[in-house]
Amino acid sequence: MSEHSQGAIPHRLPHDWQRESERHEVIASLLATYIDGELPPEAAGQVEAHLVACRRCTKEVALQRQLAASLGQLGGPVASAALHTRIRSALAAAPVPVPVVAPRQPTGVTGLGVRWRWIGLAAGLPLLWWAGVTLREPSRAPRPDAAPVGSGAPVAVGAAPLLDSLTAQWQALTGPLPGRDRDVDAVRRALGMALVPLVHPALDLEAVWTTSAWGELIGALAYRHEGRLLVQYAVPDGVLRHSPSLLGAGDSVVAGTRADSLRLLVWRTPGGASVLMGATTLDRLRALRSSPSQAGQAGASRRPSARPR
Amino acid sequence: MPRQRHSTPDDRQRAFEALVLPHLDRLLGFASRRTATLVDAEDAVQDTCLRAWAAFDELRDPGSARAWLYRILRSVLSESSERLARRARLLPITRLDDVHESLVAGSGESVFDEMAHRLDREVLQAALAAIPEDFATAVELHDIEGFTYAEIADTVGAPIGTVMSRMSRGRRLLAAVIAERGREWALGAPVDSGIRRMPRSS
Ligand SMILES: [Zn+2]
Repeated sequence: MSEHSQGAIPHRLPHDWQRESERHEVIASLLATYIDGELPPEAAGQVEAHLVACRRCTKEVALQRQLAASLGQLGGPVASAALHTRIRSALAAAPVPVPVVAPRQPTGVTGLGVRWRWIGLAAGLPLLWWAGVTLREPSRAPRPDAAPVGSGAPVAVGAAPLLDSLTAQWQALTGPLPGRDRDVDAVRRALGMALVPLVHPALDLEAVWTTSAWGELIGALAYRHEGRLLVQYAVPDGVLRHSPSLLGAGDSVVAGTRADSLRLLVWRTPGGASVLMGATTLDRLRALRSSPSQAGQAGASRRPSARPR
Repeated sequence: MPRQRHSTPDDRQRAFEALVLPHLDRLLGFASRRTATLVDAEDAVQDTCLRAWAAFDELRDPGSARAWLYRILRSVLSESSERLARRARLLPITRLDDVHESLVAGSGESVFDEMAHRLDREVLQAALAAIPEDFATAVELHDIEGFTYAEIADTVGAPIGTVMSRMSRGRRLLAAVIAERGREWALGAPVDSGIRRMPRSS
């Protein structure tokens, strides 16, 4: 039986069927609609007239009514108090959403194939990533407080839709920060991955919230550093898959530049990656990330200070 | 209908919770029939709430919140299918058509009588898992969740004529699965011979 091609419930059935069997076939296909009270009165009357004479359709009606009634009494699980709590705290940690420019998909690849194509790229092309797609930051010892914004060798991060998305989110951060006073633990619970705030004497944690990309949650921690805003995005593996070039970087720290003055640092963490971005220098970002006080800070939790921006 | 406007974030969260939390049990029930464990179902419901929260301002009509939530839940469930249980072994449709035919065309009433006492929770859930997802979804949304045909059409994004035939076909397939498996069950075979059972919350 094919699905009805028409988009509406028939008001009445044709009169001119010669053969009772044809009539039966059509009516049999409408019995569920009849039982559910979704058939208009005139058509329902015609079904009832048929039922008087057709034992088979009468049995069908009894069968479907019995099933529907039983399903209606089917109980289900009750959402536990713990689930209610979990959802409320996840909501509390989530920001009031800011419209974000959707990242563009690569041209010529659409639909279901996208993910697999990207995974294929991630598996097959890490060398290309290092060699050509991206210019890796020259390896050298960190020089804290060295170059001013815009100086030094610019480092390009290649096609990385995740970074496009995060950059757009960064640029949308005007006005009050979302998630001020939110609890790091609440965000960590919502996120389900490691979330370790950076600890450095020159960093003040100001706000913590969750945002999303490709329908998955991303954690965000905003710091104040010498009057400037820095944001660390905690990106779970599921989101990272959308940027194979980042996956391909393995455990290396990737540094890059976006939107002229925006610098960013990407490194892997358990279950995902951290992206630290701000209008400062790469050396500064690197120094803040690798502060010695980071050692032993796993699981550290701090409430952000509620200082005005 | 204008967009939802909430003067403060707290107002927004209150309005959201008032609209969404009452549906939590039902969403969890729908999800749990499609996941391997109750924990997976809870995760799916939480994801659904967070996505709904992010899209809350786009919900024009609070009256359509329920269909909107199920739409999001279905999307969450389909995207996370790799960590969810595959739907139970599906019985061949043509075979089920034959079984259904014998149910309604047979001379006796006995099949119905036998079925009547078998329609308990475990049997129904196993049977729902054994028919194709589109049919199960339509029947569940109507018979369990109380959706109208128009709401189902809105939720699954199909014309109402498609909903009509899915309801009809879905109930027939369900009856056939129950009758077919009923013979095994009646003989004392465990309901779950390859069929997913409802996870029990402790
Ligand atoms: Zn008939």
